Amino acid sequence: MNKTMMKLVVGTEGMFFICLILSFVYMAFTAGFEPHQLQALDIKKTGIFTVVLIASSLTFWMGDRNYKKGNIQNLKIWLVVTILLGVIFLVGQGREYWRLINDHVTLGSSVFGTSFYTLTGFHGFHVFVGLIILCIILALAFLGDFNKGSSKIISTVGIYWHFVDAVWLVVFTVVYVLPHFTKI
Amino acid sequence: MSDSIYIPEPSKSFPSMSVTGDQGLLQWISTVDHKMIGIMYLLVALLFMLIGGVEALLMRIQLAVPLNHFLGPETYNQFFTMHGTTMIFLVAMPAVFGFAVYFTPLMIGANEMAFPRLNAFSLWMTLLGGMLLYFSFLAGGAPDAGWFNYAPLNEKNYSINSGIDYYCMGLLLAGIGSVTTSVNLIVTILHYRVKGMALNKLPLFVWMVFVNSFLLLAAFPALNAALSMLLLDRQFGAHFFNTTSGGSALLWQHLFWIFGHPEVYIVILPPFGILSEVFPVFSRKPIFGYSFVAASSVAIALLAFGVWAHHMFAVGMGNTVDAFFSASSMLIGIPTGVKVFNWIATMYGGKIKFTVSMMFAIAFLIEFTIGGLSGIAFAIVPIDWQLTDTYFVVAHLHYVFIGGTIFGILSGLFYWFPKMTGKFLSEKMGKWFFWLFVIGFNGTFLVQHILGLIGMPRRVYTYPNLPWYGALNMISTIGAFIMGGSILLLGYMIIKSLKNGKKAGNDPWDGFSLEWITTSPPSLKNFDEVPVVHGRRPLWDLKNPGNPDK
Amino acid sequence: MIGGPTLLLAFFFYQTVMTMNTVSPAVPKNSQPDVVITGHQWWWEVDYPSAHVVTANEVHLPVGKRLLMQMRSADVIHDWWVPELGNKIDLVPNMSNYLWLNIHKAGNYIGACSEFCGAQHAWMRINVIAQNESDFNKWLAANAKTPIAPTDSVAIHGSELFQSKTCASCHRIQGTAATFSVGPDLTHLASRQTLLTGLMENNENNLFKWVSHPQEVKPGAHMPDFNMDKDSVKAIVHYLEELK
Repeated sequence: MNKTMMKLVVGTEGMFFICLILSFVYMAFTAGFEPHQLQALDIKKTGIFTVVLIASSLTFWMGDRNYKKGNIQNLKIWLVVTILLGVIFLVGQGREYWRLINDHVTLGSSVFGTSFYTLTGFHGFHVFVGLIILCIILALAFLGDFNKGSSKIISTVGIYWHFVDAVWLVVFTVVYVLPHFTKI
Repeated sequence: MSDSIYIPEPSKSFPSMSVTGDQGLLQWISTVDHKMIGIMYLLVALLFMLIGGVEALLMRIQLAVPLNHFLGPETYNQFFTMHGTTMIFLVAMPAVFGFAVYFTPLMIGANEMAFPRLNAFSLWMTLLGGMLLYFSFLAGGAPDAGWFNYAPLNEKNYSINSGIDYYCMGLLLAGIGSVTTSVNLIVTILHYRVKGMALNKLPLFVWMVFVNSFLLLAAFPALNAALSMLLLDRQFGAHFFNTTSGGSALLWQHLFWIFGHPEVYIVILPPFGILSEVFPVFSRKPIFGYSFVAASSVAIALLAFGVWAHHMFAVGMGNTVDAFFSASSMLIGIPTGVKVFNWIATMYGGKIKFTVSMMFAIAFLIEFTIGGLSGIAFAIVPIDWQLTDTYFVVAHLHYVFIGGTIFGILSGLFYWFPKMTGKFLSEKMGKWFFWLFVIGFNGTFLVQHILGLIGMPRRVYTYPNLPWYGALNMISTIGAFIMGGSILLLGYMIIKSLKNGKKAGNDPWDGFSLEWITTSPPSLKNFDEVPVVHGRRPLWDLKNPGNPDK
Repeated sequence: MIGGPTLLLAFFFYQTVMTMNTVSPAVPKNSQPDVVITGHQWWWEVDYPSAHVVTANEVHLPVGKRLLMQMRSADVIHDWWVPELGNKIDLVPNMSNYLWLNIHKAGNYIGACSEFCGAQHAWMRINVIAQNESDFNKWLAANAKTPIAPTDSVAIHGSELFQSKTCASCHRIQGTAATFSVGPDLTHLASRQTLLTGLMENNENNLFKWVSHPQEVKPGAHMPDFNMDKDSVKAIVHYLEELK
């Protein structure tokens, strides 16, 4: 029941990101982005942080597997690692934003800035909400709520966390990777 | 000192409205019971219908004669914006949700929604969104760029006061309420059905609510994206829709209508479901073509996402794009036509009982078909190129919104009022209400088709003294006041019935679905026992063991 | 049950596409429009590029010729709609839309802006004056000319006030120092039939009312109340009504 709920939430949020991504692409083709703005993006560093976020999906999956086998101690460890990886991703995003702002690429500086910050910003916000949820279940794990081992909550939260990662893969491809190969 | 908090549990299924004690208003505002929440949704809809109706009447006074000075342009423009926004987001949607959350659990044999607290959250978010929207009147002016709020008129440089910011925030909040309700309804329908009620045996009202909820989950994100982007533009200097700095006016239109067109199906599918319950019961026959009615709603939901740009035929997208959306818009008329055919076939050969509920259902067939035909006319692009943005559209949309959604809701109200309150609404006064409403409604909007054809654009606070403009507008205004008067009669009827209406038993209409098994009103716990379901009309099967369905 | 309506719709669709392509065929690249209409809140700027004529609100068009009109916007989305002359088309900022016209009969054709564009959308009406070709060419030539400088003292005083009271910072009058197009071009104001896109007849009384208290006549219009004294307004109006 909770899993159905989470799948529906993921579905509707997915539609939201589709709208943001399509708007980004629409702005790229109509208003047009300046090449120097796209070149200001650091694909290498952001690529590394992308790998960090993907890793956090794997570590969460490890935690869920351990939970299903009844190993609560490992669940807690994997959850902590997941949260740390998520935080590192957000720090990386923050540093990218800081660098861009110093390069005078802001939300209001250009159509590119508007589209870039909105799309990546909403994604970052979803990561942040996910981290809060992960901290809550970590706290609940420490309080002993998952000791019985038959709760669906862990896998339900997993659906959300994996979704956030999947969205980032698409966003990274559209914003960072594709512009290198097409002329926008 | 006690270390636990006393939470007053409800002891009555239908608490009073008293402010003293803990079984009155406190129960209402703290409830998570789906039935009380359903009733509160209906009360929210009623409240905003009165406000939206007053806005409409004031506009109609201004338009009654040419070159009138009753309302200035700034006030008028706020009124037409708020009227449209209110009626769609704060009347039609809450009314639809009210019946959905009240009756979905009952009709599937469940005792509650899947997430009762989320249900309450959704209701209060909807109300909060509405109140935030209306606060704009006190904060410098209501939004005044129309309910679809086109760019760049909606940007800060063309709309300085904060009305449009309140529009964005109010709709975002109300939208959260709508999305969470849809999640709740889907999970409830998927996981809480009584044994034997497979998805292909769902009562059609529940089926429509089910499909509708998916439609809503897919459509609202487009609106949320557009509203968020507009807020970023207005408050943080972003450049999404600001054409002076590279933004795109058309991006707003695309995003809005990708939401906006499915939205009109969102407010009509549940009324289709209500009709699919009412027609069989008052024809004493099962629905004709259950599978077609169910399947056509899925077709409508899917096609709804392929027609949005028919609102943009005059924007200059090019003949190829226009032709595509013309074809898809013509196609979407077919599943609706299938439904109308099925309802008529349900009545054919049946023993018709002309209750007020049935009268509204039959009237729906006529009024909604008129609205549907004028809609299909717009799918013919050259016709749209003359008639879009005229009073012909205003006529069309009111025929589908009132003739469709409102007539469906009124049919449901008269059908389900006895179940919700244990009292009948007076059938005698109801017939007066019906005729007054029908005469008022058609008087208001039939002539508007002509006004559009003779050249009157929409959203104008006044008009020149051209031939027939004054006369037709005056007829329309008179019709509007008759409609308004009829609503007052409805209000009186509801209050009178609650005070000393004729008592209704469990099953006053000899119904077919599970809500009629339990008491009227249902007790806090809907069912102690629910029979296993075998057919599509579980109560018919129970009452006619020698002649069950199939 | 499904087949019948589908066939009917297929027929409608065929007719739709045929009509669309007849009424609004694609515009070949590098076409030169005959008229460029630019929508402003709440008036129409009318350009005849080949004749270098700029005017406002009253649209003169020749009869019997296939005309290409280019539609642009200076601010928000507007819509051009003259029902008797053909389809409507939006005027979208940062976009050029096109309208093909072929007017058969001379006469006055009224229309209205058909996309809500703000406070005075209701009074952004359209007046097309279709003339046979020779009359049209005469009108065009007259409008290309610079108006004669004022000769009587009141009009001269009015022309000076026009500059000093800052009218010139919004309104263009050909041949003078007033060159901005924030508001309608007034070069040949006196030759127009109506003021304010059809709100009132063009005569000295009405123009006086407008110039004295614009916000009372067309509330929300972008022309502020200048609170000029009666004599100044009279002089300005007198000057303007000589601009034939």
